[in-house]
Order: sequence, then structure tokens, then C-alpha cells
Amino acid sequence: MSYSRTLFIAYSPEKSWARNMHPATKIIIVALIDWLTYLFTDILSVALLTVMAFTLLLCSKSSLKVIRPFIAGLVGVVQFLTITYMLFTNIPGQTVFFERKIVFIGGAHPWIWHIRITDGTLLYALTFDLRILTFFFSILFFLVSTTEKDILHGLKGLKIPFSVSLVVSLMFRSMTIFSEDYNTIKHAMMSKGEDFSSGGIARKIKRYVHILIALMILGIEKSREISLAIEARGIPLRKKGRSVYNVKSLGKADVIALTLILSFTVTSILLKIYFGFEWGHLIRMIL
Amino acid sequence: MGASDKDDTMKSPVIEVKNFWWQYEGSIDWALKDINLEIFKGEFLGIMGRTGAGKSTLCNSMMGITAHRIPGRMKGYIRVFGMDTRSTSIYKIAEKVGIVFQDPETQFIMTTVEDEIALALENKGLPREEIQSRILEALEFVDLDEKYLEKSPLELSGGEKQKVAIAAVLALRPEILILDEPTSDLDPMGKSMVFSVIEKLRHVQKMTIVMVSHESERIAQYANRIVILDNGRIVMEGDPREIFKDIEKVKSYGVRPPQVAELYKILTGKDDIPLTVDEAISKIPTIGKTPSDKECIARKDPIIEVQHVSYTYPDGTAALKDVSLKIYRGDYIALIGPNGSGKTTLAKHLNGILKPTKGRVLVKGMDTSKTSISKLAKVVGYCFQNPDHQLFCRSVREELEFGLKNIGLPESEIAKRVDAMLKKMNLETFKDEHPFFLSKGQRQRLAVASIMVMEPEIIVVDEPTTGQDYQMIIEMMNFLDELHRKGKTVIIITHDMNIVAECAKRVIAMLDGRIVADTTPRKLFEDRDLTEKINVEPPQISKLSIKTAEKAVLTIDEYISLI
Repeated sequence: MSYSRTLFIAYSPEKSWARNMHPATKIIIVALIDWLTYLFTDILSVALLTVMAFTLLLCSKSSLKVIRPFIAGLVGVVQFLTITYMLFTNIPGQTVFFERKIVFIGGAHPWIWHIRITDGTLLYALTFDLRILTFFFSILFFLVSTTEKDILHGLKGLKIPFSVSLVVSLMFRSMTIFSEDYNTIKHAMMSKGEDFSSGGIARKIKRYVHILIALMILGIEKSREISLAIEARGIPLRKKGRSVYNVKSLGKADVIALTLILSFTVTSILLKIYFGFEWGHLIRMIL
Repeated sequence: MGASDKDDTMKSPVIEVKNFWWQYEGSIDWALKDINLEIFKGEFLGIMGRTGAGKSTLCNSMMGITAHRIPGRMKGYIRVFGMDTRSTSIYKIAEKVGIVFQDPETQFIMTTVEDEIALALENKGLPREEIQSRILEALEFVDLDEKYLEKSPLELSGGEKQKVAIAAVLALRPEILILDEPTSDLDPMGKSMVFSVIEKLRHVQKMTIVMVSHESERIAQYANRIVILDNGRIVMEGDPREIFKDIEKVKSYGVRPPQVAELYKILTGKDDIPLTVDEAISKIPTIGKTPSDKECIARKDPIIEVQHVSYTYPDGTAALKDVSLKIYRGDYIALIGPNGSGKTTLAKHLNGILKPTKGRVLVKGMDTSKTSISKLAKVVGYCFQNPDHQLFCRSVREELEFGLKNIGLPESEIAKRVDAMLKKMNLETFKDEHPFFLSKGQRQRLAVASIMVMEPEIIVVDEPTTGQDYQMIIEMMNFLDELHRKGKTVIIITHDMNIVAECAKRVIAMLDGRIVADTTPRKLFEDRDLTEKINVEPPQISKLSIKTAEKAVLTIDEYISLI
């Protein structure tokens, strides 16, 4: 039996400066880019962030094949958002492509559904789609360039208490154990004739309740075994005078990357607050 | 066992257990009762006994885990190097005593071998250079090199995992090593790896070893002394020869005696039993007749046909490579091979749990890729190794009904079959209980019953004897034999060559995703090249007959009939 043994299945072993950065730096970069997508409302500004996130992904030297399994999901989300904007918002615009009022309940207090699709609606929908793409590329950049080991060594490098890094490590371990147990239980149910490819919602819920029961029982037993193993090796959660063996400290690439992203963020905030100006406006001026 | 080894052991007790009782909170009975035991420096103590006898509780008590971390009641005391476990912290005891558990995977905390071994060393506050040198030293001791440092412990083979677990303990330089069934989840190669490390520890480091195991033949070979526990009490204690001379008594405590000892005792009635094949050669008469296999099934119209099947897991692992196989009605097959050779993957193709990436599997003419899983479940039943993976309902009764409802039987038929199965498996009194509250043996029975109640024509059982005591193994094998006699086709996936010899009529050996042999147990054991290739060790009785007569005898009864 062989399942993927790494948490980040898309992890790319290729060496690159993006790959070698401290995980904390990467988390800060991803968090700031994703936060800025909400600060910006101009479509070109958000598009700039999408390009930045995609460039980071390219810098990780990961094959773009990693995107392939997510394409269907992404297209689904984009379609859902666009349709939702078109049907349920009433955004003003210069061009009205479609407008209709549907009266559901008549009388003194009619309930009217007003569908109005303008160029503003489509721009808003597209902006939101670009935000989703930015999240996707930035998070994928983190996943393909960071291992569980990087995160743990990074936590040590940041002098986070041992108890925190132990809990994080156990969390990674539990995810692997959980995923293997889930697959085995699913196979055991299939061997008793449970067909996972059919059935309505009620049947599906019942099926997953069964899996959950077995997972809980196994989880209790395995937690007990793991905690016993930790105790037996004489590892207390709190102990003064622990030494550290493998640590990951901030390097030159981290300092440069953090300086750039923080400067960009601060400048963006100041421009937005004091001048109502976004990078998209600058791009339009140049173009 | 050399005389010098024995001399080393008889100095001062490093562990002293005195009038020790332990009761888990909420339990009616004491788990350990009036245990008195002294373990000496350099000694190898084997602890044996049936499942639930108190072996693991005794190990945990020696580490101070029961005293400090498990709710319960205690009487008497345990001293480790003079330190009372009640008043000494586990961390202090862990400086002197290391413990390795049965499941290597649940012992790992960190994400690389290097970090795993470093973890407890960091805790001691050692400088970086010393941690590094101790990691390399411990790895070298267990015959692993620097290439393993960056690997995830989870991607190693079973034997390598246990070696890493032992290395993580050795890096702390303990004086006593406790091993709680460290080989029961391993394939023969993994077992050999672990035992070779233990041998090295005894002879190079003169370490005191306490080992819980069901592997009588290995324990008899290596241990100075054996303790047998039953229902929380020490019921037998002595050197291996003394213990195993009382064959029936040993069996009654759920321990399988070494085959050569049992054979000698039956033949001569004398107490000077041999423990190893080499000792047995001069004591047991050679067979005079040639053993033969009887072909008992008609080899036409296969019930399952595996045609050029390849299977690749989503992570890219090619688990099966162009496998072809025919299984006939009434076959009793042992599917063997090292861990990762593709046994379980192949077996999961037989009832449609997995669908081939290439090729096809026909079950009674139905292509598994095109047939519903519920239809296939009526024909092929699959029992998983760990019962907890296959029990997911709220009561025993519901558990038995689950599969029957899925295959679409009417309510009256379901009730009839469930009642009959509850009676057959002695589970009637627990029918409304949650499976979680059953004992391990009862859960195992329920897991098998939940498949058997569907009355499949073919039964696949994955590792039915792993971690089980002798009595449980006998019960399981009798059950499968009975099914086979009733005309069912039985396929067992196993590492246990005693089971292969005693039960199976046909052996399919796998290696690296391919079938490398389709033969009989006798021919398998007689083929030295093949057994070496797939790393299989024949049972003692077969090894004896091969050495003396170049023929593999499969059971003690057969040996006696051939003298």
C-alpha cells in the first residue's frame, strides 16, 4: 500500500531562492498579498497582485502541471461567482446588457426580483475572480515550496516555545495517519458492499457518519499510543535548558523579500488612504 | 547461549518488581497481580503470554508510565536502578531505560529521521556537535547510513522504521531496552533486521533487554530467561529449556512452543528438549518416507481471473506490474511477499475495491471495472487486518446488518442470518453493545463475522494472525479451515510461514509488484533460491527435514507419520 507520505502533495524539490526562504517570510508574503486584494477595488490593481502571486509560483521552479488538478474546481468557482454577481447584484454601469423585473408575489407588497447586468456587474465579477486566482496562486506557491520540516525548523528559528512546535509536528503526523485511516475505512465499507459512487444526500451523510465513528475510535487509540511514546522517551512539554539542533534562520533572501513586500504594502495603504490612488490607476496612466 | 553470557547476567538486579499489583481505573479486575521479578544487568528477559495477559502493562509500569500517567491503583513497588517508579519522574527513568513499541508509526513525532533522533537529545540540552555525533553513532549501530537522515520515517520499510525507533532510544544511551512486541507488524526481513540489532546490543553493548514477543522460536534462541504471564500473574518463569519442556502447559497460556521442542517431546517424552534446528538434528530421527501433496481441487473454470493487471496509485507508485492469475473454486491460497510487494493491492482488486489501471479482473465472469461494488461484495468478502478499520456502526447487530442491507437482502433474511451469526460467533449477549466496548478478540470475531454473514464464495483475509496469541491464531485458522471444508475459496495474506505450512494448499509469492512464484508450500520451502529472493524463513520443522532429508515437511503430525 502506498499513499502520498507528505502533507504537501504538490511540494516541488527544485532548489530556488523562493524555496529556500524562511517559512515565516513566505507566510507574511502570502498573507499581505491576499490582504491587499481586499484593499484594492480597481481591477487592474487586483490583476497586478494576481501577476505577483503567479510570478512567485514561477520563482519556486515548480512545474505548472501542479495547477492541472485544480483547473476544474477553479473554473467552477469562477462561473459560480460570475453568475451570482449577474443574478443577485444591482451594480450601476454605463452599458446595460440585460434588465428584467420578475414579480414573484403580487398585491400591495409585491416581491420583485430585479436582474440587471451592466458592464459594472461584469467588472466586479471579474475583480472577484481575480482575487480568487490570487489566493490560489499565492497559497499554491507556499505549498509547493515548503515542507513540514521547513515549518518546524522555522518555528525553532523564531524561538517559538517547544510545546508549539511539538503540537505542530503532531498535527502533521495526525494528518497523515488520518488520511490513511480514512482510506482504509472507506475500503472496508466498500468491501461490505457500500457503493461510494451512488446515493442521495441522506445516504452520503450516513456514510460519512459511519467513517467518522471509526475514525474517532482509531483516533482515541492512536492518540493514546503517541502520547505514551512521547512520555516514554522522557520528553516534557515544558523544560528549561533545551538545546536546538536543526533551525532555519532568516537569510539574505528573506530580508530582501520582506523589505520589498512591506514597502509595497505600506506605500499601497498610504496612497489609498491619503490620495484614494491605486497601482491600477498608475498602470492606466502609463498605458 | 554461551556460559560467559550467563555469568554476565547474574550480578545485581537493575529492575526489581516486588509484590506489584496494578488496576486500571474503572476496571473490576487487577491487570497485574502480585508480580515479583528481578532483572539482572546484561540479561535478556523474554515476556510471553496471551493477548491481554498484562505484558504491556508490566513494561509501562517498569518505565513509571502507569504510576505517573495512567489513572489506576497500585500496590507494591518497582525499582529501576534503585529508583522507586512511584517517586521518580518518567524523565529521570528514561535516562536509564528506553522503550520501543509495537507500531513503529505511532512512535514517530518528527518529520525526518535526523529530527526524530535529535528530539530527545535536544531535550537533554546537549550541544549541537554532540547531538550530531550521537545521531550518527546510533544510526551506524542499527546499520543505517547518513542517507537516511533526511528521509521521512514514514517512507521507510517496517524493519527500517523499527531500527530508527531503536536508534532514537539508543542515542540517549540507556542501560536497559524494553521492546514491546517490536516485530509483530513486520515482514520476515523486518523481523530479521530487528533481531540482528538486538543481538548486537547484547554482545557489543552488554545491554539489558526486556522483550515482549509471541515469537517463541526466536525468544527461545536468544533469551536467558522467559516469564509467562496469564491473567495478570506470572505463571511460569525459567530458562527457555525449562519453560518449553512443559509443552501442554505453555500452550494453555497462549504460547506456541518451538516446533522442534514439541516434536521431540512427543517422540521421546524426555525433558532435554532441543530449541533450535541445529540442536534437533542430533536428537530427532530423520524422516524415512517422502512427503507428497495431494491435488484436491479441479483446475478448470477459474472463479477469478486476473488478466495482465497493472495498478498505479495516485502518487505514482506502480504497485502491480502486468499481473496474471487464475483462482479456482475451493482454492486455499496464501499470498506472501515482503511489505510493499503488492499483495494487498492485488487482493483489493479481487472485489473491486481497486480498479486496474491496465488489464482486467473477472470475478465469476463479471468485469470488476464494470460491476457494482455491492454485486461483487456478494461473491468476494474482504477482512482487513485491523478490526477497528471495519467496525463503524453503533451496535454489534447493526454491524452485521450493514453489508446485508447493502447487497439488498429482504429484512426477514437479514434477521435470520444475523441471529445465526451472533450465535455462531458467541456474540449474542453483546448484540446491542457498541463494538468499541468489546475486547480485542471479540472485535476481531465481529469484524470477520460482518463479512461472513454475507456468505461470500471467496474470502480474502489480510494478515489474520498479526499480533495475536497462539490460541487466537488456532481459533482463526480453525474457522478458515471450516469455511474451506464447506467449499469456500480462501485467500490469506500473511507473513506467518507456520500458517502457510499448516493451512494453505497453494502459495502465490509476490515481489516488486509481480508474481514470482505460484506453487505449493512444500515446493516453496524446498526452493532455497526462491525463499532467499522473497526473504522467507520456513518453519522449524521444514528447516529440520530439509537439512536432514532435503524434503520439506509441513507439520509435526506429518513428520511423525513419515519417520
